Amino acid sequence: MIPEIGNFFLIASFSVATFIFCLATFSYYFEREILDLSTLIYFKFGFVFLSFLALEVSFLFDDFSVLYVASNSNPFLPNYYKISALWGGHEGSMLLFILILSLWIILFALFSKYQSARDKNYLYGFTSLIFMSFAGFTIFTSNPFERLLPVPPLNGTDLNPLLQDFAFTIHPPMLYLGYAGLVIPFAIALGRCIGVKDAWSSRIKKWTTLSWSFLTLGIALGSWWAYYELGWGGWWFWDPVENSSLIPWLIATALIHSAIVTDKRNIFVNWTILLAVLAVIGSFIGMFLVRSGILTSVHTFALDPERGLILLIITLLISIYSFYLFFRADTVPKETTDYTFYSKEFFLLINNALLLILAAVILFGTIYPIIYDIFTGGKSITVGAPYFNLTSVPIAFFIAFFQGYGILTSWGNSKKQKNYYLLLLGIVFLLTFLFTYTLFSYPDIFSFASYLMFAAIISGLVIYIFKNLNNKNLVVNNLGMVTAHFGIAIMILGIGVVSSFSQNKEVIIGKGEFTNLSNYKVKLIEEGKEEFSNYFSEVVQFEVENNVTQKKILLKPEKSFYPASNNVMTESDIYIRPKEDLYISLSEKLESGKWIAKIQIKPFVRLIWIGALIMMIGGFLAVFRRIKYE
Amino acid sequence: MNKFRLFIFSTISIGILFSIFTLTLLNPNEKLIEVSSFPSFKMKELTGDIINQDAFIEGEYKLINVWATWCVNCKLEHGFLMNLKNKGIKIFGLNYKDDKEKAIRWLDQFGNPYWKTIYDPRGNFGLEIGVSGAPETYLIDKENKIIQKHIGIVNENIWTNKFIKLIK
Repeated sequence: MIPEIGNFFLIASFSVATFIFCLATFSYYFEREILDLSTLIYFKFGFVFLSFLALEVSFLFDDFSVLYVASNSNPFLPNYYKISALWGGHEGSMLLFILILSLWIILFALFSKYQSARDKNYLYGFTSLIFMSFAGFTIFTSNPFERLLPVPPLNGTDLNPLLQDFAFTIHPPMLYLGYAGLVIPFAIALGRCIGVKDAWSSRIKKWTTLSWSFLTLGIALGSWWAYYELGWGGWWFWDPVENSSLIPWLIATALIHSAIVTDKRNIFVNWTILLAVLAVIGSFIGMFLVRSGILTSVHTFALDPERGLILLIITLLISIYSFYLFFRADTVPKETTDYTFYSKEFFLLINNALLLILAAVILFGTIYPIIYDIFTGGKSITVGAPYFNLTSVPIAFFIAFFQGYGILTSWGNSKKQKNYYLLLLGIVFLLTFLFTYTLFSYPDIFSFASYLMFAAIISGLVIYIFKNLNNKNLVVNNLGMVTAHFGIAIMILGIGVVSSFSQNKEVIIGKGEFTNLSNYKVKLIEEGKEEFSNYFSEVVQFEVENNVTQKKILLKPEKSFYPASNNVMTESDIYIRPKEDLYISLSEKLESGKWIAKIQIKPFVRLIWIGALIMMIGGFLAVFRRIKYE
Repeated sequence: MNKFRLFIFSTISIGILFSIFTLTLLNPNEKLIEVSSFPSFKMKELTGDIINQDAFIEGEYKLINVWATWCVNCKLEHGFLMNLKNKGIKIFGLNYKDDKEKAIRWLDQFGNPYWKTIYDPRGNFGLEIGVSGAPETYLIDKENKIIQKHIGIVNENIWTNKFIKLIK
């Protein structure tokens, strides 16, 4: 009964959204006053929430007559994971997505005041268009309430063990908070196209920054999870799924900056609208890539090309609709504002273009395997880290450089300023260059680029703060920006340090033998074997001794063999210290009984995620300062 | 910036992107899976008899279908499998993570398309050949190598494109 109630409320929310969209469209074309649709927005949220609760209840009470529960849960799963198992598969995560989307719409309804209720209704109409499409998609193609009657199974297949993990339980909700949040600026931008102008650019800036912060956190959590759970010792794999979350992030970053210019100077209006539209389309294309199964990746959703086709059609229709509105919009400003090549506007424009190019390059690399497949008739190719590093690092380098210098320029024309900032920046640059070059005997070009990027951003920030010391209000008001920029600098530094100072050693090691890496003495002390019916697992205990502190610790990497299918799973073990991580993973066992083990030291790898956290905090600071400010 | 130019540029790029996606979705060039040999095994059938790799006669193509009573899609696939059986194709069933009594009742009620059904209540055997869920269908060649794997329902279209092509 409960799943049917859930299904009922899901359909109810879909109907409400459809109604809102139709009513708003009617009101626009026939220029009729209609009632305030806010109430319906609350109803819609209530309906989805009840539907979500119904599915959670089915999970908690192990109702295996529900197909989705049966395929993602198990009676022995702890309650905590039963709750999070709801978004462990495709259908449930769609439900979570529309729940979060309706939550954003509620927040928008509560916190944005519009002069005319009609204008706000239009925006509800646009958000409801998106809601309607995805609720419809969920109901008709991936309904989580589908039943397994008349013979329900006694037991469910388990939740994928990789997903039974804390970071995973909050990673998807955070990502969806980011994706769904982008729908609000999308609606505001479309509203601008049909003439709703109430503070539109400052609102786009605010809402985008908020969802951007969640997106940042979501991506960082995913990267952290991959680092410790997948056990490859890397933090970013250029996996299609990772890329498809990075692309909207880059577009959203560009959107925030473009909206700042539009807000301040009333230029780049078209840019801002287009970016708001592209951010949403980008995240839907990402969703399509992940869920249609046309790309293979470590994230496996139930793959179904027909579902993919419907998702593609939805995205296409939304794109056509928004491009049509954009095309007929009146965006010619009454008075044009001039800016020179040497102004904040110009720097932001360049960086926006570069961010978009970066997004395009990553998208191209991600879908290149499909393009290749089409033109060669079925041959496959993989695009790996070398392509992405080679293309993205140079672009990112210029972005960082313009970012560092850009914040020192002023609006309109910076020629009046003295140019010593540029000089200072140049000096810092040169010093870093010489410092790293001589001290570290030339690390590889990529990490070298990242030090320069770090230096450019940090020196820009430091000069910015010094320059404005007598104008404290300015710095305080821009605290969010300063923090977020600082965060990205920290992250870039982390990337540089990890890629240039990581040490790794592959050793052949037997029982009782030891090896030294950096300050650690790693000794193999014990081997154990655990046998199961059709696979066996070898657990090797290493004693790691820190030569400086004399502290000892045990690490137990494992290797499981599925002899018949030749499948091997390795589980590494990590010794976490503030300064560095020591990472041991097993690779082969030799006939002599010795092991080939890979020992890695990852210095300051945590800076990457700390940087992302700081960026997120910066985003929140920017949003909440502005609320107070207004 | 000129709105019209922006509009044209973004429409064209989005258009190209969507055409690529549509092309891929509509003509999936089926990727060949990595060929791996079928493991030797010793399992029980649903009937209780012992079955091992000797049931796989060399020099014949074999089809293995993974199914369970808890799997709705298996029910949807069932009709097509019955057709295959009526055409004279031998299908091995792999009853996956299921209950014996229910499975037998299911086959009695709806009809049994399988020549022999391997009973794998805990999914251990499935793990060895790489089963991720049900339904799944595997094609094994004359040398007992797995040469094709299909996740999801097999229908006429998939049967012709993914399986018939490989059978020589």
